[in-house]
Amino acid sequence: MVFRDYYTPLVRYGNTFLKDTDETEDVVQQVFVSLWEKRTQLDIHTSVRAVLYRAVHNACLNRLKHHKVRREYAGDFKNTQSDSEQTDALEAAELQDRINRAIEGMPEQCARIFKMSRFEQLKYQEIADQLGLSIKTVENQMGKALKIIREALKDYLPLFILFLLQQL
Amino acid sequence: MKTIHDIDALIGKYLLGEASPEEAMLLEDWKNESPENERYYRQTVTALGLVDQVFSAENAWQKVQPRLAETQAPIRTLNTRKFYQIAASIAVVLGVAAFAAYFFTQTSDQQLYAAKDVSSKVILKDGTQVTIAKNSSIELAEGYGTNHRHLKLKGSGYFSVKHSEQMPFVIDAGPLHIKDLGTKFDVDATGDTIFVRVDEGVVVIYDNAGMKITLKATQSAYYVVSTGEMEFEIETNAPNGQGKTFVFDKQRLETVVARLNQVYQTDIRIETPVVKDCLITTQFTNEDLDIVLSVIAETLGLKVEKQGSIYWLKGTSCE
Repeated sequence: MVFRDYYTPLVRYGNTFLKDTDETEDVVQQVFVSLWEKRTQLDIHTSVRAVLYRAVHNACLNRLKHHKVRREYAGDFKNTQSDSEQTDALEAAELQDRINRAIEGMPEQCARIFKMSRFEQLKYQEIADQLGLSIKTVENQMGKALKIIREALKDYLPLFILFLLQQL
Repeated sequence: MKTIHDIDALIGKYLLGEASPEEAMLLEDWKNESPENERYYRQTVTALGLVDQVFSAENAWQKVQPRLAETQAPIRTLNTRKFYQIAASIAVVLGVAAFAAYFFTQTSDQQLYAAKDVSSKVILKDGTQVTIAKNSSIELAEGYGTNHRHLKLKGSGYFSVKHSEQMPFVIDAGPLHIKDLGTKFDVDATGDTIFVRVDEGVVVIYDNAGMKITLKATQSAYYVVSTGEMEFEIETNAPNGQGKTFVFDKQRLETVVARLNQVYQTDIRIETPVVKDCLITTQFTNEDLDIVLSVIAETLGLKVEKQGSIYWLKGTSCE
């Protein structure tokens, strides 16, 4: 039950860091296996679930560090976002257009933070540092931005989601 | 309970790779609370221009399982208290392993595809395309596509089959078996009568009593389950499922209506039993249902009335 219940959410979570499903699946599988191997040495005081999430979190952040080192070494600064993350080209163009219009309608700071996060790929901490804000403010502004975009896409989203489901 | 505003910030954090393990679990729990929450989450995924990745826990399990089996736990001396703790966690994981294996074999070996209110199209793993009519289902037995290609049909379906000499494609529709020889065909096993129509290629139809016939393109056959009798008809159907051509030569109105209901996916009913036996001779090619019905009504001196989604054919006798 542990594997079946947690595998999918763990991969989804890990993928928010790595943005590469194949790699994340490797990481999560490795986490399961090594936890199993170490099972007699572990004293699990919290839940198995918490241990798994923590392990996936740490493993993914480690991978990211490795990527960063490797990239700097190779002088490869290409966008880490994988192609597969992007939606189907035609749909994406239409969607992007709507998102852009929604961003234009946002309050200034909200729009700036959203752009820094999405288009410049900055971490929350980096955005907070650059704008002299607390990280909590960045979180809240991003939440607000998402809300505005979702509202703007309201008529469009149900159709789009239907399209995605058909592809599953 | 989190407010919606908090949830937006949390989803944002999560999707942008900023969430701590605790926040990730919190979000996962919130999502599982209701389908609305799940939908809300998906909408936010889209609002960020992302797509949920698709991956299979089943495939992953098959990779991980052997690795779990081959790793022996190192032997250690344990004090009693510790032993109980460890024993408990192993039991949980073992229970899980057994359960997961059971769960996955169940789902991977026996598959049921069912269509409820609307027809649905599925592509099976051997490339066969099936359009399952509403309220119908197909069931693939264990080993479908690897050892055999047998499936059970309840209701009606339209099959587009890749022919294979090694592995013949066979539909079991109650007592009747339909074996493909490279085809597109229609099977309707809804009631006592099983209807098979071939659009392309050839199929063999046989039952357990030794009856066997071959149907070619544009041919169709009716098999009456209760009597085990086969009525073989050559109808001039359009060469594909899209075109609707009917040639009715002195056919009973009841039969005609059954055909129309099937092809147009509609609900036409005959109000008075006496009219069911009226004979009609006519021909239609790609006509709208309204035209077909008005022609039939004109010919037999009946009236068509629409009530909701039902078409009623009304009249007292055949003219």
